[in-house]
Amino acid sequence: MKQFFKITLVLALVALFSFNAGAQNEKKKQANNAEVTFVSNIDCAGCVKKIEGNIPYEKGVKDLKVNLDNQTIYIKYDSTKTDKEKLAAAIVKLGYTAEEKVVEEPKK
Amino acid sequence: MRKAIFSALFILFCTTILAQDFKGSIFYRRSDGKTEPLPFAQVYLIEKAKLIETDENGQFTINLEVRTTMVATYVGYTKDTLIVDPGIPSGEFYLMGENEVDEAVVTSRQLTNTLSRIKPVRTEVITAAGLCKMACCNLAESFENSASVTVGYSDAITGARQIKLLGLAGTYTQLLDENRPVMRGLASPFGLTYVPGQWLESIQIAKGPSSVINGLEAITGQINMEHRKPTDEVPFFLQLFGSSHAMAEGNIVSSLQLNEKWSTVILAHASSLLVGSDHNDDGFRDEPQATQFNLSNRWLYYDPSGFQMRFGVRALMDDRLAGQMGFEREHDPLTSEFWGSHIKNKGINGYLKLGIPLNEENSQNIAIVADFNYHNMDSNYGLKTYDGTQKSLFLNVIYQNQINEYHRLSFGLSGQDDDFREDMNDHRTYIFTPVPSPEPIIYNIDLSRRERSVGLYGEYNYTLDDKVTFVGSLRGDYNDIHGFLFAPRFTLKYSFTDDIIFRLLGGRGFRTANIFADNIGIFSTGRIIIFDDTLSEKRNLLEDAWTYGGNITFYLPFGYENNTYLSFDYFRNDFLKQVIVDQEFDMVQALVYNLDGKSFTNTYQVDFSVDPIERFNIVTTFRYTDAKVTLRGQGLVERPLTSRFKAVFNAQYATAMNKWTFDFTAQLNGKTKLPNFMAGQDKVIEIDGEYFSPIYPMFFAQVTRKFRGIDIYVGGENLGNYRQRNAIINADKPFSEAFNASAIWGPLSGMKIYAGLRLTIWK
Repeated sequence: MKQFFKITLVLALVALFSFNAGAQNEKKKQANNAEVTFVSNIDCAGCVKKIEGNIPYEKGVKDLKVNLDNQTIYIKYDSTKTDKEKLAAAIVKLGYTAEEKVVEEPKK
Repeated sequence: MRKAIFSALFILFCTTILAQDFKGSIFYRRSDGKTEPLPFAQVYLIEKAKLIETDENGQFTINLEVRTTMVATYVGYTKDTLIVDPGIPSGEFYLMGENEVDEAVVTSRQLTNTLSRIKPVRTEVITAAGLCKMACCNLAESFENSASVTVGYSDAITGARQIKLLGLAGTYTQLLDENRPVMRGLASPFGLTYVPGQWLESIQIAKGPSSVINGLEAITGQINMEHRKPTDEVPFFLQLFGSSHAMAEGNIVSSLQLNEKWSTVILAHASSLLVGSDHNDDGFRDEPQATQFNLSNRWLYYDPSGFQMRFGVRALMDDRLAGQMGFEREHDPLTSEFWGSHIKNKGINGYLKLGIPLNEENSQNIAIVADFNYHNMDSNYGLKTYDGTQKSLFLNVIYQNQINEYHRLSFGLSGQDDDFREDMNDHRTYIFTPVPSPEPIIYNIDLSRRERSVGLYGEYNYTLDDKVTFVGSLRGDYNDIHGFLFAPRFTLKYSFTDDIIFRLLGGRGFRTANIFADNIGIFSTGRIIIFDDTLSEKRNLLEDAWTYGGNITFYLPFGYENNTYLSFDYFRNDFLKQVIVDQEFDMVQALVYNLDGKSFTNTYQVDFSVDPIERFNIVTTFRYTDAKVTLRGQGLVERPLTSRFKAVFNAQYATAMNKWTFDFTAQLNGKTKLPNFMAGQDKVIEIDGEYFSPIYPMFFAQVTRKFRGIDIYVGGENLGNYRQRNAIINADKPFSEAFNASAIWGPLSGMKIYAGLRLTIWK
């Protein structure tokens, strides 16, 4: 019985530590997250498929949303692993344009 | 020397003058007359054979040395052309929204399974993403997520699949391949298995009779398939699939763009059920050992002037071995001790489609569609043999005029020539009991026919912004068997608000019954096939029906990205003429006769789709069908083998960027009225002297993992392992009159586990 408690306690501590470490890692990861939206010349469903089939596998890419109607490509990425220029280059390499969409700050 | 320097400077000066920069601006002119720049539009310089693009402000600059013809284009917009001489500093192009200028091409932009907001007819779209939700070996299996379409087996022998739309057999649904009628006649029994799911980009299911452009045969609706395109930037796609039932399949698709104008796609398929199995120990193969090869090549020529040409060929070979386990391909079915079925199908198809703009804006154009189809089926079912050959030619010329943003007119002339050679022989001498013939007599039915028709049609389309769309159409055909056939159809779409859309439609449809092809299951019975005398006149093969219905869809402001919808449908179908195959009038005959009384269906459906959180989609659908038919000796009764309801629940969750996708589908299939000879069979329920199948569930699940260029998926079908056991009645007496494998209400195969791989190499 004692052994069961010991094992449970050890497991609980390990789990707590892992969770803490995990949470810290998650915070760290989130701190490194950056976002960019490109305006592109994508004009067909095939173009969307091509981007969705390739860009997720570029280093550091965390999320991707391609909008055909607005012709925009939104990418969330880890800024320690990649940057906007590399991501734009990856899109250009697929045969499409990639101009960063600058979001205007709302006037105060 | 000074002279030379002067000359050089003069030339340089002249060149500078002549080769000035030209600045072009491209605008989108809205319906209210206002304009806005079109970023990333394309401009084709004809003399230079060069394509350039506008910037984000819709502008471009080029250096002009000679007179240049510039065509500004943008997908979904009309074109505008300017001829510019050197020295002109700037010019403007104005493009307008193009309203389905080319009817022959429908592309889908939806990324998940959904109801189309745009189309005037209630259209359910199953996209590439939807097609990947399940193994989708072929078209028949692509509808598991849909309650609108029910897929079942024609019999427990041949593996022939049939769909039901609005509670009626798939033969009343017009199947289109990129808006070209396909799978007509002899190709229909196995046609659904001849379209590999991996060849498809999307499927659109339109309920009710819609357009008359492709003939009169759409009675319950149209199912249009879009194949992978020549313009897809995928030079190599490979799919491999294997299942626990020893089914192996491979598909290769290669889309190649040869230059700015020419592109092609090659689609190849091979599949085989490697080993026959008999899990229910009735002595019969559970599924036919089928081997199929299918090859297609499609071409697209697109000229910047708007002219386009599409053509393609397809060849098909399918060999099925079914029946008792002891029966092999090399056996002669007429002398074999085993009841066996060997079905060989061969088909060739070729088509050409031309789109010719008649003016620069392409608001007037002519489309020409030509299609030739050859299909041969050479088969036997025990001691019955059936050989059929069909040659069909279809020609259609469509003129369209987009008069302005409100009105569009289409006129056309189309012709169909069908040459059927069909011969059925029943080699059993004892079928003429009680007086057996002393000499073997072969009972023969020759259903050969040549049918030619020519039709004239007109369609008027009125569009008021996104508020109202009305399509009214009339078609009159002269058919050399049936005489004049006349069909009016209409469709109305009205948006109460952006989020409440109402649709109403109705119309008439005709088709000629292909009795054997439509009812391939009757061969897998011991019944004598008896035609009423009236059917010796080919004109009595005509089927004539009216279908009308409505839909209201509410797009609701909740769920992730507010894409929730709730939709209600009601459709009613009434037959004026119908050919009935009845196995209940007589226990040794399959009696074929003309409807004498009422035959109708009422179909109600509710669809609800919501994304509770990002990348998590839930779709639930419930369909109820009330189908009745007048059968000889019984009067108006519930139509046999039509399930009363079907409920579908589908949940899909994907991690970011769809790297992992989890799919789960549950179906609940309602009870089905069974023919009276099913009394006493496994799971059959008797209620007030009528026989019904039980309500049964089906479960499907799939997990997909995506890597760069590779998808791997593992899944299961019929996870509850629910089966219609002993689907072959009197399997131990296959040569008797009581043998019957044609009354199928449930799944024939038990749980199936499968795994597959999709490899995509991008250009």
